[in-house]
Amino acid sequence: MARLLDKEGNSRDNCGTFRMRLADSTYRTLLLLVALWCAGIVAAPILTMYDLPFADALPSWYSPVCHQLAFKSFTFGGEPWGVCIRCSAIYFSFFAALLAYPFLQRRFLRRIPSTHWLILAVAPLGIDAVASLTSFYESTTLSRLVTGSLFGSMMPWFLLPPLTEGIAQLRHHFSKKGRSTLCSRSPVNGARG
Amino acid sequence: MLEKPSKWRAGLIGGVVIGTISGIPGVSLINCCCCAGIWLGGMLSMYLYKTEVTPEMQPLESSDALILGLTSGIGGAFVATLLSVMILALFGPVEAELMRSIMERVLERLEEGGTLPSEVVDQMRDQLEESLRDSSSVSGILGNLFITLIVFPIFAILGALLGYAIFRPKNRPSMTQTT
Repeated sequence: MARLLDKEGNSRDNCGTFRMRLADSTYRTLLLLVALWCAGIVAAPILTMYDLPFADALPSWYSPVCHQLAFKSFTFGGEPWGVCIRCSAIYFSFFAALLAYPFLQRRFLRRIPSTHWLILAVAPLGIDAVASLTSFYESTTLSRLVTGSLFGSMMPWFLLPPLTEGIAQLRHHFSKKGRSTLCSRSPVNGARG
Repeated sequence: MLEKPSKWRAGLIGGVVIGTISGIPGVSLINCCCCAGIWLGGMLSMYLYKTEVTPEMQPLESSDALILGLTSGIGGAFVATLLSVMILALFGPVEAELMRSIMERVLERLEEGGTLPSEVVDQMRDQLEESLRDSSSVSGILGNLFITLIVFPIFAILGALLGYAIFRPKNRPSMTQTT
């Protein structure tokens, strides 16, 4: 197979493989971190129920990002999860979408989706949350679940491509060896109006 | 091509926004909505940086979003802690009182409505009091700073990446043609 060489003598094949490996490891790391984050949400009530170590500390990790109101949370054995229903829906659907990402991305999508999709994901969540906060109407468990899941399942499509690309670029910038420009940027995540 | 501008200004402004939203009692409730304040701060820093980048400069990259998110998240954690300490020193535990009044109203409503048994409500009251006491102590503030130093950058990076997805250059040439 013919190989094209760049200025530094790296072959396109090597660069492509390197980029794919890096994207793969970024994806796996993100998947692991999100899995740990989600596991912590469910582990919080279990630790409290059995009075295990870190029972008090674990929910504190989620306190800066969620109100953690018990009556707006799923419960396990009478103890509330680490975050509320809406946040749980966001994180678990994000995790599910992340799992499905490699299969769906190859089939349907090779670029960052249009901003219209982002509006479609954010608007229902925003309306449900703001209307509930302003006592305009009381959001239900179903509405929190649906709007949260919609938002969470859309996010990997917007976040993973620039994250993978960004890490490759940073690696290129900080690498002592310095790889070619070809290796540092992904055409997959290019522009789309 | 000209070098891109420094990221400090945009990152720190994003950090101040994150810190202000998270540190001021009442305003911090925005973060209860899926930590929207942190996302917005990261996104804002990306937007501000984008306005500084002119066509003569190197194009905006997603690595810029990562650095901006990290900077604004770390900055936001420090600003939020500083604001909380200042408010605590000047006005006393305002945030704790605000949270207590909101929670009391919610718990009363739950008790009256019979949604939760009164024992559970009492237990929740005790937990609330304990957590509010902890939040005003030095160890509570330091513990909170430690957590926010990890959590804020993560969410600010997500916000900045989302900002990149929105504000990125729309007609960037494909990099495969540049060799």
